[in-house]
Amino acid sequence: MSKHENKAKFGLRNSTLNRRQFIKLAGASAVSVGAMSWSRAPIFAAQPARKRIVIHGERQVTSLGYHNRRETEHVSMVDAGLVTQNPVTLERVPVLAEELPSIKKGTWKIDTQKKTMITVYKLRPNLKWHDGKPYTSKDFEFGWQIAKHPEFPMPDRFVLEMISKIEIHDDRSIVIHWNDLYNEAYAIQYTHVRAFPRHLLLDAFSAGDMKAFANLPFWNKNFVGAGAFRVVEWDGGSRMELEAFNDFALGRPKIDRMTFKTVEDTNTNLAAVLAGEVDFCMRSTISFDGAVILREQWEKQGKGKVLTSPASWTWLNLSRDNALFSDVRVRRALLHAIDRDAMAQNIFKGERIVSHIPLSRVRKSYKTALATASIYKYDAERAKKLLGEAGWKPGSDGVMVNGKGERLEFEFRCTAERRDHEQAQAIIADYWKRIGVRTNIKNMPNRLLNSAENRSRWPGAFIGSHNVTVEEWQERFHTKNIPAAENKYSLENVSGWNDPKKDAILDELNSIITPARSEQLQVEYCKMFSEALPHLPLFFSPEVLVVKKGLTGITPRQESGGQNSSSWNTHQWDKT
Amino acid sequence: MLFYVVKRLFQTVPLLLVISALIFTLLYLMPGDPLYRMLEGIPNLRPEDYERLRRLYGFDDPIYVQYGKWLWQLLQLNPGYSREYGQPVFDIIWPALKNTLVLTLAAVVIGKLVAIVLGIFSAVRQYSIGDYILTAVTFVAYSVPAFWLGLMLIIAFSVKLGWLPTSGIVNSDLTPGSWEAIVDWIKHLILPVAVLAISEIIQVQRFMRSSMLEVLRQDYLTTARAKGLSERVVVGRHALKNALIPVVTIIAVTMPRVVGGSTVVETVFAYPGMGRLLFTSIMGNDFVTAMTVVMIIAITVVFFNLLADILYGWLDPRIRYQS
Repeated sequence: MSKHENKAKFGLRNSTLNRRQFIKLAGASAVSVGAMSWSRAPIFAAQPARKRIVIHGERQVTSLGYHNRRETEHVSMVDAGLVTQNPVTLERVPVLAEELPSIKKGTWKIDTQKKTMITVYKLRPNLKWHDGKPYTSKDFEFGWQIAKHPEFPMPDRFVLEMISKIEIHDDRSIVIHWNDLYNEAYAIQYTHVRAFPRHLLLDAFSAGDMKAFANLPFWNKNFVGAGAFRVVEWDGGSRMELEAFNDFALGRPKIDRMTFKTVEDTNTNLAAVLAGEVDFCMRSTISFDGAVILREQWEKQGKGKVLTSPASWTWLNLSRDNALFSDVRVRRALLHAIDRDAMAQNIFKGERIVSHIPLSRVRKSYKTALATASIYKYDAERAKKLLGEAGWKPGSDGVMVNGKGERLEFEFRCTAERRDHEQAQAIIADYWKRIGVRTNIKNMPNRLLNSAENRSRWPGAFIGSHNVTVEEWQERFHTKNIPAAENKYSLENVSGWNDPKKDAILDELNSIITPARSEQLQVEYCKMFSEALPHLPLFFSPEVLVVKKGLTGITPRQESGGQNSSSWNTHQWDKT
Repeated sequence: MLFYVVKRLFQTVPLLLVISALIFTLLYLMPGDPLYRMLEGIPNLRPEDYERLRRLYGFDDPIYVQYGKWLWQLLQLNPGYSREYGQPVFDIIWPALKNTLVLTLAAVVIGKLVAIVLGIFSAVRQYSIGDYILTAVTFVAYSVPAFWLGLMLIIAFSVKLGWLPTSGIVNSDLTPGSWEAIVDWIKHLILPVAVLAISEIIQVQRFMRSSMLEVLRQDYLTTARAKGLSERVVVGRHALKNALIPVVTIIAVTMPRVVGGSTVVETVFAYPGMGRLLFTSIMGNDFVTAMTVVMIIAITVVFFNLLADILYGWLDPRIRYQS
């Protein structure tokens, strides 16, 4: 059969493609696609800058506004609030406001009878948005209007709903009327309420389609803020180019340009540091193991600094729903059985500090609280004795058994991706085995642990971690915040600690009190905590920041939490 | 033939619908809360806030309503808005698709060409030292995970030698369109292309070798040799054409990878392509984006399967498609 006949059989005419033409066409298509894609490459609107730094982060920048997933580290580079917080001293620092409202000066008025307050903020003179338009108090009021709109997907409305009215007397004065007492009312940060440029957003907001409004490119790609740096390019969240804002309220930044890149893989980040490609690695970009390698291979050669700060708190929780742990003596025994000091030194190379109370070491009350609290040093014999007092005796196979014939055996969980938690878990399981406690390890990935059925509850023991901030104690430990079916297990008091005395302390801590009284309450609270042991405290866990030689001004935050950000002072960063 | 193609095209419609429904259900059943990543780390969040956001984002709708809404939007060529990326889905997908096409086409072209040459060499020199070495290298390379190979290449060429960048796609310092920028762009591509190309070589080289060996044993080649044709002509002109037929089909079937990208390689090299987009959208429970990416891949799979069938019939006269 001839070629011609073959073609005819397949319905291919002589005018259609032959094989050679097909190959040519395919080649030409490939080249065209390459060329088409190449046109994308040179879009990078970049000019050589005098002082430029490259920052790696683990999470892409989704939103610079109120909603969607937002990261304080990114937002605080491009926007500013009335006030910010120094993450080292925890001091509140005015940024766009001239000063903090104060009771003495009459700019913070409290009516304890009616439970209302008024705070008066005055903006610094000549504030500007990144587009050069004036930043006024009307923009602040507008930002509040956006956030409180019922159809706007603002996640957290706690502070918003305490504000009954915002009065604007002139372009610089903001008078906030509160319908409840709130101890942070004197230091409103951008995470609470922030201004947005009215001149750019008012029309879209007034149109009333809040879904379309929330999806505007303004919130990331075309963002206009009032922070130290302005967005000049935003590449789908994987890269962001920032340029120094000349009219920033606290003065022009010393760095001219910043490139922010999202690199999820911690090993790639480690390689980038070793290759000298990155000036600053934000938290979570370098693993703990990576930090140890960098200390050895990079820091010792004087190429930069690995900064670690004990910012968050790792705990071990014994299920609130499991009767095995209802006796506090059992909880105390289980903590006595763990040699946390040895773990901190041998496993975590001294980078972790043993914690006894849920209070950060930078708080003024820490030393007194620690001195007052019950400390559970490693003592296996004491652990066995406590278990004996609680009615547990060794069974035939060495596992503790109680009068009802129940074995001290339970499931032990942690997050599968958390190597540090898995390391700790394996060692703790071994320590417990030595006193006759049997565990069955069943770890799960983060997304499974956060599903409705696993969130906030586990049948046995669980290693977790969270912020250690006093301001978040209410959410973490108040009885009203115990997760339950009716709140879809979305609340944070996973320990289930239920004690009215403790709640009274937390309520008072959340009210307006003097710093001295606050410290006194913190000490009392820590004492109660150490006696009741709703969580078994393990370690203060470090956050790792990596800073290349020559970059100065970066301060690792001492407490993790929404208000604390290591990029709070980007205008002070410098590169030599 | 035309009727066959039209019939197959019509069959793809219900097939794609079933695929989309299945994938949507699987993503829906996947453990994890769609709001979790958005809300983690936000203090003072109350149950009513959580419920309000579920309502605003439509997560409280039954699965068939959510699927119906997504499908309706997709049919209007507007699959919606990505929560994970904060942009309309197509605005994210097109740049990622272009990046992936550059990466994978380069890898596929280089990889397949090298694989074909090596496959022919192995077949023609069967049981030679070269064949043994190639076989051994192929099996070793086959066992090496792509992420590990990627990291090793980064350590060697970026950390130790400092020749190539570790990750990303551009250096913002360079003036767009300048020679430096072009060279830098190529430099960014070399390592990820190398990892993907090695994977291509491993897969196709073995296939090409066996296909060539089968053809080399055919009687018509003995006839060709008996006619006095040189070995180069026998192999290059007569054997290669026929040996390539099954390989072309394999190449067509593996082409969807060109569109889908490689999650592992793109993640290791922080390359903003389709594979990385799919990974981050699934990890962030961003179903709208994940579904759209998966559907684009599914359409490509269906299309290239059809193309493979047509090509096979075209290249091999023994194959017939009945009307």
